[in-house]
Amino acid sequence: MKKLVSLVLVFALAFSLAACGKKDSATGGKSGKDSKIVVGVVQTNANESDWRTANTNSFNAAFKEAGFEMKMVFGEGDHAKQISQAQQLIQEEVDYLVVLGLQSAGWEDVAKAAKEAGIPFIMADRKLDLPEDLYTAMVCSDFEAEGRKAVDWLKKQNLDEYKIVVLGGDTGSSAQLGRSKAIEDGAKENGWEIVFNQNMKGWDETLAKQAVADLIASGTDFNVIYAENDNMARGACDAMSAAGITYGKDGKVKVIAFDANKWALEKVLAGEFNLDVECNPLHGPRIVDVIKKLEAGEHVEKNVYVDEEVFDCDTITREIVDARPY
Amino acid sequence: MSKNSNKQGSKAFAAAIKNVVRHRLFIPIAFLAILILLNVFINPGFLRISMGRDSAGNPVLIGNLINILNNATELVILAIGMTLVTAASKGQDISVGANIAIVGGVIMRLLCGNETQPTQLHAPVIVAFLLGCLAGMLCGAFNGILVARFNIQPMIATLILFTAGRSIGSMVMGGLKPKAVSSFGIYGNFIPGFPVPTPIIITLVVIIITFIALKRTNLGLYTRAVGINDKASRLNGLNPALVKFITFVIMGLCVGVAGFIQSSRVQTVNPYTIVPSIEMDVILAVALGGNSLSGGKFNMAGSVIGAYTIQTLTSMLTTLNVNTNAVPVFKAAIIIVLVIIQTPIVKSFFSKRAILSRLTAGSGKERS
Repeated sequence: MKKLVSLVLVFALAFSLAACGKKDSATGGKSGKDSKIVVGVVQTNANESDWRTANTNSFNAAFKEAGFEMKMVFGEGDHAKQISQAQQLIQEEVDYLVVLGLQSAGWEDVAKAAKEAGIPFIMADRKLDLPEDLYTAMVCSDFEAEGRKAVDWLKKQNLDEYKIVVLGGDTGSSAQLGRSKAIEDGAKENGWEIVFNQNMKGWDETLAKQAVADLIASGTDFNVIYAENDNMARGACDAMSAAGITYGKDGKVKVIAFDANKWALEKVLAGEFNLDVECNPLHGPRIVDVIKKLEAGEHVEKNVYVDEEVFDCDTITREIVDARPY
Repeated sequence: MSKNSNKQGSKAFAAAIKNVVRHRLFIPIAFLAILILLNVFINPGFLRISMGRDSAGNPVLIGNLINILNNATELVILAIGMTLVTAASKGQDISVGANIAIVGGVIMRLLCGNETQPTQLHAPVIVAFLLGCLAGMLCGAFNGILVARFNIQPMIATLILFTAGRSIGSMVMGGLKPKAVSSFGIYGNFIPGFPVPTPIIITLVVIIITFIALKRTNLGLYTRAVGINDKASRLNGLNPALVKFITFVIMGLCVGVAGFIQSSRVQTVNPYTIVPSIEMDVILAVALGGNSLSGGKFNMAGSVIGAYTIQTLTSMLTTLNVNTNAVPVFKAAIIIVLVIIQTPIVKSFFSKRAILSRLTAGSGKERS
């Protein structure tokens, strides 16, 4: 009896799976011409930060306005999950695949599969390690350029000595790799000393705070904090406040942060951070632009970097902060 | 005569040493001591504690030891719960980090409401604390029911919350990333005017309560009994399922307290990154304390010392500015040494050698 039931169940499962497959391919085939354009988006995390929320909202708004159908999936911190999600989207035969990778390595197979299926592969936000022929377009932040902006600013400060604490982000993410490379190269060129350089798991504020507190306790002397996101800069400032070390505009330690969230710009305005380098999250409209051009058969520029500003505590104004949407 | 008494004295001394070396806490304490000595060797100022002032002018203690005691708080509290869970259920709770994300989410939601930059607390801190603990205990109860009632292996049962916990935490917070007012920070930092970090005091209180509970109640006895042989303990009138369930709820309470301190440290919670992979450090602390991870007898003091050992190691890797790519390797290398020395094979090897050397030394004397 049991055997019979399980046999029936297995058949039912097999049939339902087959039915799924048919339906998918049917809609996939249709969407090619007359119906809505379907875009698969592999996002990193749903609620990683205010920055990420602004990023996701930008996609939602822009795709809605353009009349595209969006299938957004979230990796939730899991690189392997992102890859399987991307492969799933390819099987569902979306018209375009947009990837915001948690890690920059390991995307070759997905890109090849997309190419074989004739789905344009677009990288957004973070550049992935892919040869030029495997992707169609890229709309990314140039993290190394961001880092270099900070290095240029540091150079202009003409400090007597440079003792830099580097608080890195998640090891292996392109944001961490680019920003760390910029400061490491900058230090080498200018003869600055990096007294501490470690990556904090998960860009975590508490870990950054504890690391800086440990450095202070062990008597490490430093006068620059190079924190690769806003949160870690805030954590470092907390640790310095607790030990009575002055920082910011009128303090001993210069604080450099990245991303430029609205609350962080408030800190720049208050003179707690010296510099915040923007990392632009508004990719949605640019991606829509690329897809429209591809649809029309126009030429798209392969590698596009988004424009990014720096906010200096000496030049920032109330208006700039208030105009910030996120 | 004097020679004889001298001989007796040295014998007593040797016996005392043997007792110390044989003591169950010897190896955990020795590890911690060696790590601290290593730190002092590298950085002579390691043990120095100085009185400083924070930017508001309040007196604060500054020093590596203070930082280690302070930052080990979550580890110590979780290790206490994990020791009980390990002893009773013969397995580990791997969901503690994810549960802290849930607790942090509950606390933040209560304190900040729907605002991202609130200017006041939306609920009294004590309410947030109690509900945070309740959330932790509910997570613990969920794990406990799966383990005790359904006999699912602890690692599998807790895998559920391990996978879902951080997302649940994020949902509880409504997807916001609020930062509570800085007055909430006193539980994870300093009470103005009092130079010892608050977490150190909380740890002390938790440790004292734990040891009183173990001494005055049957908790320790029952936990051991169930862990050693739950059939025998059932025949003796115990309810093994209930004991296991209770240890998981206690674990949940520990998660609640640790989550409260953790969210007070920077007054904000990011469920996806809060206490990254702390569950592994906690399990390691229990193992370093000389506890068997397959349940039964346990040694609470060992686990606490193990937690401090791990924090010392973490702090050491920071102050030494070890290359960031090498940090995990470095940590693993030290841990493998610590764990291998505690294995019965190595232990018996050393004790055999000790006996041998004593025998040969004795025979040497006789000949002379």
